Amino acid sequence: MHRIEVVEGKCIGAGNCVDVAEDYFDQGDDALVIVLKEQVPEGDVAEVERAVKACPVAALRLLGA
Amino acid sequence: MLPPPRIAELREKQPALVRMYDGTPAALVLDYDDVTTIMMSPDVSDDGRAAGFPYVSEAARHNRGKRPTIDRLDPPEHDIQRAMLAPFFTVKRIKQMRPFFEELVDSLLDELEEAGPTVDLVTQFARHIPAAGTAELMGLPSEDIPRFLELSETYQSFGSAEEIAAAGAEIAEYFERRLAEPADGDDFISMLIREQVRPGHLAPDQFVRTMILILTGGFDTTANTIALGVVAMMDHREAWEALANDADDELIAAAVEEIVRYTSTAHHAVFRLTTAPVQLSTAELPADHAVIASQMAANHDPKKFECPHLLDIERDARTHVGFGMGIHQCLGQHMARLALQVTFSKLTKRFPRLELAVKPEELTPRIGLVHGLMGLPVRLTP
Repeated sequence: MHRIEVVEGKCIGAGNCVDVAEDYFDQGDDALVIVLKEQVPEGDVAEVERAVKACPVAALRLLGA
Repeated sequence: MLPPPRIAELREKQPALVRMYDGTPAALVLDYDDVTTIMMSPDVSDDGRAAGFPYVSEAARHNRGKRPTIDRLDPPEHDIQRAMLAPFFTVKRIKQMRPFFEELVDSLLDELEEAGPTVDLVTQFARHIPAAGTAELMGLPSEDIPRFLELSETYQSFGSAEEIAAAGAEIAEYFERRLAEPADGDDFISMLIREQVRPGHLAPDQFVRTMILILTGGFDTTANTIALGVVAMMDHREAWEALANDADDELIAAAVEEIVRYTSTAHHAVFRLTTAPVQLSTAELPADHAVIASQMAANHDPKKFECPHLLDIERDARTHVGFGMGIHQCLGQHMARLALQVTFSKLTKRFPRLELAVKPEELTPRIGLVHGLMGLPVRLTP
């Protein structure tokens, strides 16, 4: 299992993570990131990695097991 | 839409030094990794008020003495203003506009079909799509769209300082009027006035210039991406045919990312000034150095995108910098994506045999802050 981590105070609400991996990310009323599922099984790693890379301010990390 | 050949030469001598119109030396940064470094570094300022900040012309400086909008601000001011605007541009909120865009594009395609077989895809089609979308999002009356379109195109052109200022002033007057009226609607403009301007979180002049920024940003870029995207696919016919046959729209999201990468319509946005030394791949830029980071060159960097001159709609181009990177990344990017997805899906399917009605070299380019085409004559059903 891998785990999604949000770097505190960086998110600007650009929404790319939601656009790429909507099962894992959402935006609140303030547009900022909400992680829907922290744990990422092997099969979804590629998708979540794309979402992490799409973040314009590097506010997301995918940590190994 | 492809970077000029000179860019490939300059890649070998990174960073290249260019001189602005007033003699200010600026580093021209081209490689993908360096361009993203410039866009994401906390040691690079976007505040256009600073001495030494690079401008392309006297006209481009015309707003400099005024209080800046988010496109020319650093944190923390930038972040406060972006947070006011971001909730109106979330993925979820933009997704709700899909039926609006589908209906809009269908009706424009009907009009094209009636006007055909030869039509101008810029004036009769492309420019109306983002304009109507932006107006819908902002809550602007649709009868005002044609005038806003004219003004926005002048505002984004490389015209004279007077012309650009006059266009800006006319758009400003509209929003100043809105400020004086009751703001009780649920639209973007009313809500922003009610929740941010009236309580004093956003100064009235900043509100007005922010509205100009969103209006002109939304009206122009996507229209040019549509036009250039069609030309690119005429040159890569297999992409057009693949989308025409893609009944379940499985290819469209990736195709749009690739079209945005390939066309790099907003090629003229990343002007910056370093505030501390910044390490690039080949050199260190000193503090207080002007920088121009080219999104187009980054999107065509062969180290990042293999065979960048090929439009390959199946490649994963999602990390392109067509919408920028860092805190200034395009606020309206999800609306642009949606508009482009709906447009290219429906256009290719309605007119699978569409072809240019002139030779590509006969097309007139539109050169400005955003690049594109003045017109695009096509035959719908040859």
